[in-house]
Amino acid sequence: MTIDTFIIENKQKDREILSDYNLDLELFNLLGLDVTDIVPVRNIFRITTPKGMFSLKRVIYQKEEMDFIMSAVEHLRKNGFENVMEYMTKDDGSLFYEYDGEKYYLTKWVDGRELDYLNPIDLKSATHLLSQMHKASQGFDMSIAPESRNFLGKWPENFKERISEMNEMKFRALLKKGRAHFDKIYLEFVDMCLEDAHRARKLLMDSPYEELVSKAKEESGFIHHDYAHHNLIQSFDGKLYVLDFDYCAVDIRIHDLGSLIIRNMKKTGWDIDKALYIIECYDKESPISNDELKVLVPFFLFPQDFWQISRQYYIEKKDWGDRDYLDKMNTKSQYTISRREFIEEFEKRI
Amino acid sequence: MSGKHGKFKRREIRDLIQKEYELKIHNMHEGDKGILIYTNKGNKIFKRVKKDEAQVLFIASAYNHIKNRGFTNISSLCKTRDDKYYTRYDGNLYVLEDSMKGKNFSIASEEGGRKIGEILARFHIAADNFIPVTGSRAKVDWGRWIDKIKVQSVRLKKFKEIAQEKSLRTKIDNMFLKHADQYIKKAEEAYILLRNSCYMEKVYKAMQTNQLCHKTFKKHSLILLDDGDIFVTTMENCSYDIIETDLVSLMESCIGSKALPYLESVIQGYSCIKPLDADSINIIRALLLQPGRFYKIVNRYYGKKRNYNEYELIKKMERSLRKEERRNEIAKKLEEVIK
Repeated sequence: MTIDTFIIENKQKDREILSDYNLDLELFNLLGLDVTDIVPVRNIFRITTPKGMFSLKRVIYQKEEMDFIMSAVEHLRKNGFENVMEYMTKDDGSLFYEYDGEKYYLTKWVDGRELDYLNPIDLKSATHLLSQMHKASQGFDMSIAPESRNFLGKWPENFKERISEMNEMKFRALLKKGRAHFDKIYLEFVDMCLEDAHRARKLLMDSPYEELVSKAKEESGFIHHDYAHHNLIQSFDGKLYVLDFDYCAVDIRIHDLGSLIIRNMKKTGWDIDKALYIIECYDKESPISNDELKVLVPFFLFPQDFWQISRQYYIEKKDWGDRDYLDKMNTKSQYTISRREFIEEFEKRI
Repeated sequence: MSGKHGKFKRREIRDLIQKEYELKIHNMHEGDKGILIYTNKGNKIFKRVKKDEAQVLFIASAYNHIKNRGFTNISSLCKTRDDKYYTRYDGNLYVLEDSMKGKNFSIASEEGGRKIGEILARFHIAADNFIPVTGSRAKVDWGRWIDKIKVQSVRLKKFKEIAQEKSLRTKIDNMFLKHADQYIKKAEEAYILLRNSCYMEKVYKAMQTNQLCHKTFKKHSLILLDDGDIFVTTMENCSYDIIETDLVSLMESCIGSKALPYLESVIQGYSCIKPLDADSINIIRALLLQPGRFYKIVNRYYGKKRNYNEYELIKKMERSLRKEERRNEIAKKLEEVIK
């Protein structure tokens, strides 16, 4: 069976992930499922069987990371947060199916619609759910979290590393003979972005970041780290689900909140009112301190998107094609200017 | 066969459809919407859909839901022998949709206006409480307009600054600058009107009742049958939304300068089946005022989106200006209607 026939119009990243699945009949025999249909949905496969629908996911992390993800979801459920997917364990209690050197696992399919952040009603529901998830995450056994998933206190160091990478990439671009259009845009914006990155680092160092880290250590919570609209499903009976904890990590909760705001800003032309609306929605469920608001400023200011797309181009050298890179760079470099105006207004309003 | 389905060979299509759908094909020819096929089980259209399987399932279950709730003059997707609503050819998904013999609908009288208004209202009644079959990927457009119009207004202002700062302006820049202020004003007007018209309350209500909308309720989706009935087709873009968006599509498509006097009869026809309040009319006005078509074109240019050609863009901008003008006339007429 070839999976090429199943893959239509999936996003590039999803396509790359899906192409690594080895969908062989033997795998389905191993799963013990009588499969009647297989459909790719984002980066998983939806499997239809007489027993119902399931999501099939390939494990792309180390065992300790996967254990952490599972424990995090289990912890949420224990704390009364039922809005998560259900893992399908085997009779012996284990989860993974090993086939052809790869590991797979199944979860129950959650049927419903994806939330839409452009709909204020959905956005409010998503923000409330995020604060509830953060509350339920507290009291987690931090010793389970591998070092690679613990970001507490690491923001200054991360900012520093990214600044140095941006500098390194700048030299690469400068030294290039016959610069591509991407290089030209990178060089046009890199100094502005470096300036923002340095300022963000300085603001972070001067902010009550360390206090927030200490508080977070006491609370022992974790974050989702990929709170995108497509990871939130509302079933047709009205229940909300948070899916895909693959990127969950230990960090201060405003990492999730800040990311949710930035996701929305990109779609709404950096609308300050929208950002404040999200903060207000979260605050109603779980109050946000002034210290947290102050730490959001450097989080917003750091040119994360610009660093990321440049890194994918110069360092990771992802095989995306010039046109894709250029489109992404065009969009992300434009954020630099809008972001500055947004921060200025944000600082005034908070 | 020629045209956009030129890749197909007549024999290949015949064999594919006869095999997959167990039909006997009498004749076939290429039309605007796809390949028209005359079979032993009625007329069908075979067309490519740029959707995935889960999206096709959503569309198919939408058709079935509406039909099962008594709105029978509507097309539906045929199932293959394997119980699927699509077939694959050349790496793409194709669907076979029921069709009828007739001509495209247009509003040529008050009676025609009232009739289409009634049909849309009946369609909406049949299309609420829609829960798609398991495994569908729902298309949802609830509540997007406030942000959409706000973004339009903000970005049009930004584009204006970009155009003004240019030392060497292109023809597109000049065309844009000539109309920018007018459309920025329109976007702002639409935004305020929408905010003041209980838009979010309507969205909330539509979410509670799972209201499905056609989304392309336009003349090319409406076939006027020989007996005077209207057959609804082309639901590929159906989505969850508020009913007012379908009224906007209908007006944009069917109310030209000749049919403008019949606008009121469309509203009356709709209202006698499913009453429209002043907020609904104002929401329709706001959606007609927002310069979406103009914005789409200039965004492609200033937003540095790929694949544009200056000559084509100028033509598209001219066309968008004409369409905006017509939408504006409808919005004005609507204002008179509610007075």
